[in-house]
Amino acid sequence: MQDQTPLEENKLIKTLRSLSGQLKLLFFAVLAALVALNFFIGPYSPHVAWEVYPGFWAGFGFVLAVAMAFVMKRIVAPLIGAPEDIHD
Amino acid sequence: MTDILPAFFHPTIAFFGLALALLILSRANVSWWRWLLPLAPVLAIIAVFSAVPGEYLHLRYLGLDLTLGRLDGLALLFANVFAIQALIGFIYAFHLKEIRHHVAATVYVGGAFGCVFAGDYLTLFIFWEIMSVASTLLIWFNSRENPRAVGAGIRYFVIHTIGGLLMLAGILLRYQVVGDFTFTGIIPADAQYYDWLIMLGFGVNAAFVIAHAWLPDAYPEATIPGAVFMSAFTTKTAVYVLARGFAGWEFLAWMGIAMALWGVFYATMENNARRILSYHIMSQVGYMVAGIGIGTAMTLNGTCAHAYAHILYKGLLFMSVGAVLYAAGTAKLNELGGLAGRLPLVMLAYVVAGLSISGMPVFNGFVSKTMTIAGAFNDHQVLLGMLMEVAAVGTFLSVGLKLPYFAFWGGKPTYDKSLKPIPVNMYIAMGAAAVLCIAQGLYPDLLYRFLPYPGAHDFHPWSSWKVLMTLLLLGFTGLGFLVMRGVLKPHAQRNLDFETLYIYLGRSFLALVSRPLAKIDAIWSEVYERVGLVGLLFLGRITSWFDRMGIDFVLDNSAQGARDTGGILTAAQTGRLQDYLVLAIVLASGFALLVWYLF
Repeated sequence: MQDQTPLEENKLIKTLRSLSGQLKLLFFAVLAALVALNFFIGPYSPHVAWEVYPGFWAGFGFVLAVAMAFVMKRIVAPLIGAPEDIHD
Repeated sequence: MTDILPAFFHPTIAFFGLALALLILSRANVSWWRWLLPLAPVLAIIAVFSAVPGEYLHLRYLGLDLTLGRLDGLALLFANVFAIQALIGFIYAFHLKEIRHHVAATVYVGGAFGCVFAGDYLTLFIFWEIMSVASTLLIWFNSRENPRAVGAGIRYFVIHTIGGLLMLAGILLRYQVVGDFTFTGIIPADAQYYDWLIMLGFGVNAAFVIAHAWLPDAYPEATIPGAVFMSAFTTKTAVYVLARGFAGWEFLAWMGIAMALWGVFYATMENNARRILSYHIMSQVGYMVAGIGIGTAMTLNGTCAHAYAHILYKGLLFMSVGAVLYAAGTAKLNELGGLAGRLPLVMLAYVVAGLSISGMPVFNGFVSKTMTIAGAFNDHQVLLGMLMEVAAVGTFLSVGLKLPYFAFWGGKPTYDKSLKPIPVNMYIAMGAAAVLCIAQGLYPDLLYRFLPYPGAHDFHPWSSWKVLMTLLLLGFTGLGFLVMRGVLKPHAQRNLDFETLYIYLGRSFLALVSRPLAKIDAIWSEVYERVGLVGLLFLGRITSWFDRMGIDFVLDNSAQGARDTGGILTAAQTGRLQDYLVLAIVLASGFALLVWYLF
């Protein structure tokens, strides 16, 4: 039989968990600051034309993340899903 | 006849030597054998860092000129990271008592070094196959804990054998035309059909789309340290040979993008953490293959840098997920949850690796991935570059956020069963890899100094725009995750991929071959019995008669004489003891009578 010593919950992680609301606000603030910075810092030589518009890469990341999550989990996964032991 | 220069110590010697020593020591009852494990990687590190580029270890064998030691920038870069990852891997596997596992791992790593330094296709092929066999064992050795490893290992081996055969066919057909086995770059315009065969053979190991399914099928079933080793060597050896032989092939650029996207799409759906990581190997190797396909000095440098960084962070990803699997006994996200507080160091190691693979500034993926993508844009391959950014979003979404969120943080019930303590050597290995990931991210020169193509130092990842652009892209991917985390919640299911096609193809091939063959066999047996056997017997009788009456009679009839005597003797040998006793008594009394009569 394996040694099954329980591991204690780390205090720092516990504190971080209790602060999740504030951390989320901090995250939003950072995102806003990044977009604000984008008005001042732009590409030296744009790779694509839209890159010069502030917030382009922000929109790109957000839209793609949402679209990918939705399409893969809600549309594709039900189509190709099978029981885990299908090949056994 | 050999002509071996002593100036270069081939790391394969160290690894194969270690494998042999371990095999011998497994018979002796000693426990200190495991302290030998770091020896081979350390020797390899010394050999690689002190090596002078050149051609070493020429061997003349069966009239062929083989080169076992071609050392140039490209080979040394891969050997460099192979040696370092081998050391990390053996530290991670140090607690393992199973000697055969260490033997398989050392042979596998030794094979990888053999491939990297091979100057000709034949040497490459031999080491390639050694790797294939040894890595299959790393899957099969897990079959006691995980019965699924057996089937996955068989499929893995069959696919790699087919890949090896494609490669061998290409090599031999090429030899017929070209007349030698030298392994050098092939200009796309001069490509012949046999070059394509070789490239597709390499492509099986690089996990080209359609041929890729062995990877997410087999790696999640391998042993915990086995998967750490395999994540580093098989696909990256393939990247090395593709970079060496097929730079600038447009096919590879598009294949690479297809791999990068296929991998992240599947990873977004997956539930098994090690399968998510496996799909991300495919995806990250896709960046490298695309860089090779674009084929400029910058994208090739990007490929090399990314391969280097990838080996370190992917090893760390497999080590930290392996640690969770070791402690909890499962790597399925739907069964895990909220482990950050109980495995904080593992979580930290995972986050370092997850941010590295996502290309977050400070971590090494940032300095390598941006180089490949910028190289694509600089070559005016806007579509390729944008699709790589799409894959970057998917990477952060699935391996940077989804996996750690559902394993370590929230979103679903916490894993509350007891955890098995993780051996300290696993922590040491993870710590070393994490330090290297961060050091290379902060000081890109630590990585760029090894890059083999010109212009590596002209690229500066740490410009304000590149950092800001990456933070915007990844930050808002994070926001997208926050919005969609309910949708992304993992479910216990297997997402069918091309391995299903392999299985059905295999079964139908078997049916197609075995059923008609069985029928033909049945008919043939019938025909043979009815016609063949009778005819044969008749023929036999004629020849026997001719032999007896013709040849023997004409000569001296000795054969018939011998046969008749033999027949009498055979009849005498009944096998019954009493008969022998009677015979012995008769003979003895006859002999006695003879003696009495004569004297």
